[in-house]
This record gives sequence, structure tokens and C-alpha cells, in this order.
Amino acid sequence: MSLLSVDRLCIGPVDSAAAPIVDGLSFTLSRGDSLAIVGESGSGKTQAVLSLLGLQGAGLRVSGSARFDGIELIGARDSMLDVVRGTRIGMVFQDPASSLNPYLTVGMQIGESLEVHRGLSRAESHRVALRLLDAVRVADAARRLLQYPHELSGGMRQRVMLAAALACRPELLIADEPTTALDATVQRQLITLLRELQRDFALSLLLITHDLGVVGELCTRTLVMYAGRVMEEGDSERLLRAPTHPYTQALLRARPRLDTDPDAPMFAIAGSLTRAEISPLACCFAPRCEHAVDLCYRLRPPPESVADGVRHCHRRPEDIATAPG
Amino acid sequence: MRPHTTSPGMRAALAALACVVALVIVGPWFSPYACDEIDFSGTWSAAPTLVHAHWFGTDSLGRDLFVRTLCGGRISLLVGAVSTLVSLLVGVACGAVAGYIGGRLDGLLMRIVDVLYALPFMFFVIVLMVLFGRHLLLMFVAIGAVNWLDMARVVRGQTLALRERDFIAAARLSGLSDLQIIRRHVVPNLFGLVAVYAAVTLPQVILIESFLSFLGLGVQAPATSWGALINDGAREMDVTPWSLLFPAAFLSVTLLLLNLLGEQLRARLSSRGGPAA
Repeated sequence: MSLLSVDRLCIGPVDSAAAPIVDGLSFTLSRGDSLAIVGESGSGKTQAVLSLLGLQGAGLRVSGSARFDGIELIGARDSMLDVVRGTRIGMVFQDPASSLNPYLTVGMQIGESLEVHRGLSRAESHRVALRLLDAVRVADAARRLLQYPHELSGGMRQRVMLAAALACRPELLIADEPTTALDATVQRQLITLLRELQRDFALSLLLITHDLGVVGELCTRTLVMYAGRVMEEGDSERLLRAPTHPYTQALLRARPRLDTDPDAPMFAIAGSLTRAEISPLACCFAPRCEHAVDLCYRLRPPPESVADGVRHCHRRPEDIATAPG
Repeated sequence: MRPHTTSPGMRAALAALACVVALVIVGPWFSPYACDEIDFSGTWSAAPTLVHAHWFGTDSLGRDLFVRTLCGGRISLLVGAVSTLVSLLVGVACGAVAGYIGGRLDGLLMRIVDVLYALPFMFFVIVLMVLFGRHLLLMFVAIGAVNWLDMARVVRGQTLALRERDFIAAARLSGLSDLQIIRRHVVPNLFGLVAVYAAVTLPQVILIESFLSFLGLGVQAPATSWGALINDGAREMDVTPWSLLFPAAFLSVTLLLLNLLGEQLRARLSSRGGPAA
């Protein structure tokens, strides 16, 4: 059964006809499953998940539908959302340094949602926070509990954020680029941790990232976004091995690899993401696509069901399988 | 990183200020005279002398100036502290709510502030005094009512910056209500700013009280304050200069120390790159 089902989610400016930030995002996430939303900066990934929780930026209008366990989230009142936020859905942000309050101890911040939602006393919430810090593999948890964020390292802070997000035992964890601000070794530890937590806490995971390496390890399903639209969605393993969309192919080719000639120039997708150039009537990736044909500029590709998901492209997979050049 | 060391200037100002406060509180106990007691054995308007323990001399009614200066200090400092506290509580509450909630409520609260700003202060105080009579409590209200306006504006500005920060979004995502966020996340982050502002407000308030008392709108005789004493002393300064000199010196030194302290705090805050860094 699906825990979160998003249907044609659109986010755009209230007062202008400018291109929407998210345009027709649909996906479903089953209980216990994990989905990665991948896309380059500015593709609307973060805005999409923030709007699910009623935190879209000022001046943005959200339409469409997002049902969490049968509860409609889009357009819900804050008092309604507060029941879900923090208790049933937890979230971790990209930058752990700024998402912790510098004036409160770690223990207070982890225990906060317990005090607010479960009515626990400060002492009780501290006991739970101690267990949570252990769960996110923070050594010397009892001492850490009384420290302030500035006394912790980046990886440690992100673990604290995780502990805080998991305090009320949510069913869904949303992680917005949780490893971006961390260095490579810490990233690795955190990915391992996330995988373990997903198992231990029976979490469904919605991961936002632009790191394709993370995707393959953490998530069973992957959704690729470009300019606010879905390009392709499918089984992670298949999608990373045999992408059927030119954009996914290009993303994968643009990854730095150890087995290529270090002196050869790295592959880059030509052009840049320019919202103003995107026509509502054409494929948004067409201007940068090396497989684009005339049709791509005239008609927005309709969703096409494939074995394990959906793709939005006019070209057939076999036509684009052999990349030119 | 938060430096917990204090500069020598700050330590000195704090120590001197503590001395003044201690003197004002315990000093009157060491004198044989009471605040409103007339010493009939001595002379009226006596010069400072050790003989009758009139260390600062007496005023034209024969009351001991040492005791009166310190008792006046009690009132001045009390008015300063309470009024600052009042303006702090009201200002922070109003500013934080207006800044965080925003929208119409923000507009409404800030227009109230604007209207109160436009009110001429002296007129406001005189009306209050006329309507309710002269009372110490009224002084707290009058001064507090005017001083919270600045505080509210400063706090609102800071809150506007704070609410865009990620940890506020994180708090919203953990399902905290607006008031819970204001109480748990916004207000603690305002602490540095508010501390500095309070340190700046305190001497201002003491000055305002002295000013009102000097004009005869402040404390009611026989109670006194530094402003009232300076007023008395100024009338007789050609005959008994000490009756002006001692209260004026106490007031000036206290204001100087408080301003120094405020300046030190401000410098420390800005060296930390703003209150929230």
C-alpha cells in the first residue's frame, strides 16, 4: 500500500505566468520503500518536498494532490499539518550547521518534538534523546547531549539532526541532500547509517540528492527531475544500469569515474538550465538534448509507462541507446 | 565560537558599577540619619563635615545629603531597572510576534508602535500625572510605555532575519506551533541583541527619570531621586554647591559606567558577527 502518493503537483508563482518551479510531479512511495529524487540544482526538488509539508516559499502557489496515508497535505491547515509534521514525517536538511539552533543544547533540540507532541518532561525527553544519539552512532552520547551545536563536527551535527527527526518515530523520513555539506568519508558513514536506520526504524525514505552514487546504495526507486518536470522514474538498479531517458544518460556520463583517462576532458551536458527558454508546449530538456528531434520542440512528451516505471520522452529507448560520440 | 572572556574595560566597568549599586543599597545603613530626617542639632545647609556625620553636608531643610543621595540612587536605579524590564518584556514579545507571524498582525502591531512614537513624550507623561496623580508605579508605566517601542522595532527586524533560517524551518517541520517556535527558538536567539539593547536603554531610562524629577514631574517628596536632588541643588548652587555636586556626580558616573558597559557589550556582539552567529 502506498504511504505517500503525489499526483500532478505544481508549484508556481502566485502572481505571474512565469514557468512553474515544479510542473506535474507525480510519484508514489510504498510503505518501507525508498525513493530518490535526482536532478541538478534548480530543478525544483527541494521546493517539491517542502511544499508537501506546507513550507513552500512565500508567494508560491501549490496545486495538485499529495496524500500521506490518506491525509491530503496540499492546502491543509497548519494545525492539521502539525499533527503529521515531526510525528509521522521527519525531515533532515542539507546544511546541518544552520538547521540547528545555536542557542539550544543538542539534547533540547532532539527532545523538543517529544516534549511538544508526546508531552514528555525535560528529563524524560533527555532519556529518549540519549537512546536516539546512540541509535545514530554518536559516541559519548551523554556528554554530547549537553553540548551546543558549535561544539560538534559537521557529521556529528547531521547525526543530531537525524536523531531529532527520528525522535517521534516517523513513518517517513525526508532527507534533503543530507550528505552535500559533508566531506567524503563522513558522507560514507552517513549513508551507511541511513541504511541501517531505515531498517531499524522501519522507515520509508524520500531522498533528495544530486549524487547518483548515493542513489544506488540507498534507494530502491529513483525519479529524475529536470526543470520541475519528471524525466524518468523507475527501479534504481535498472535506471542506473540502463537509463531510457537522454537526460539520465547524460547525467550518468557526466559522473567522474576512476577508470577513464584522467587527462581527457570530462563530459558535460551542453548549455545550462534556463527557465525562461522552457516552453510549456515542448520537452524542457530538448534544447540541451543530443537526441532531440523536431517533435521534441513542438510537443511535450506524455508519460509513457515502462516495465518498472514511467518515462517522458518522444524517442524510443532503443533509438537513444547508442550515444553518439 | 563564543568567547567567554571579558575585556579588562568591561570588567572594570562592571566592578565600578557593582560598587555604586552596593553603596546605594547598603550605604544609608551606615549613616545615623534617615532619608527624611531633619537634624535639628546641626545647621541648615551645612557644608560637608565629619563632626555630625554629615559627610555630604545637609540641604536647606537640614536633611543629611549623604543619605538622601543614596536613597535617591535607590529610586533612580529601581526606576531604571524596572522600566527597562518592562520595555524589554513588552518590546520582545511584540517585536518577536510581529516579526515572526508577519502579515496583518505585523502591520497592526507596527502601526500601534508608530502611533505611540508620534505621541509627544512630555505631553503623555503630564497627562498621566494629571489624570492619575504622581505615583512611582506610574513612572514605570510612562517610561516603559515609551521605551519598548525602540525595542520592538529592533527585535522585529532581527526576527525577520531569524525566521528565514533553516533551524526555524526545521522547528516547523517538527510540528511546533508558531508560539512554541517564538518561545523556544526565536527568543533565545535574540538574547545577545536584547542584552545589548537593555544595557543601552538602562542609562536612557535613568536619565529620563532624572529629567522628569528635575521638572518636578517625577518622585513625590519626601522621597527623592537623583534628578529631584539635582533640581533642589541647582536652586541653591551658589550658596551650597555640594548639594548639586554630589547627586550630579553620582548620576554622571553611573550613566558613564552603564554606557561603557553597553558599548563593550555591543562591540562584543558585533565581533561575533551578529547576535545569531
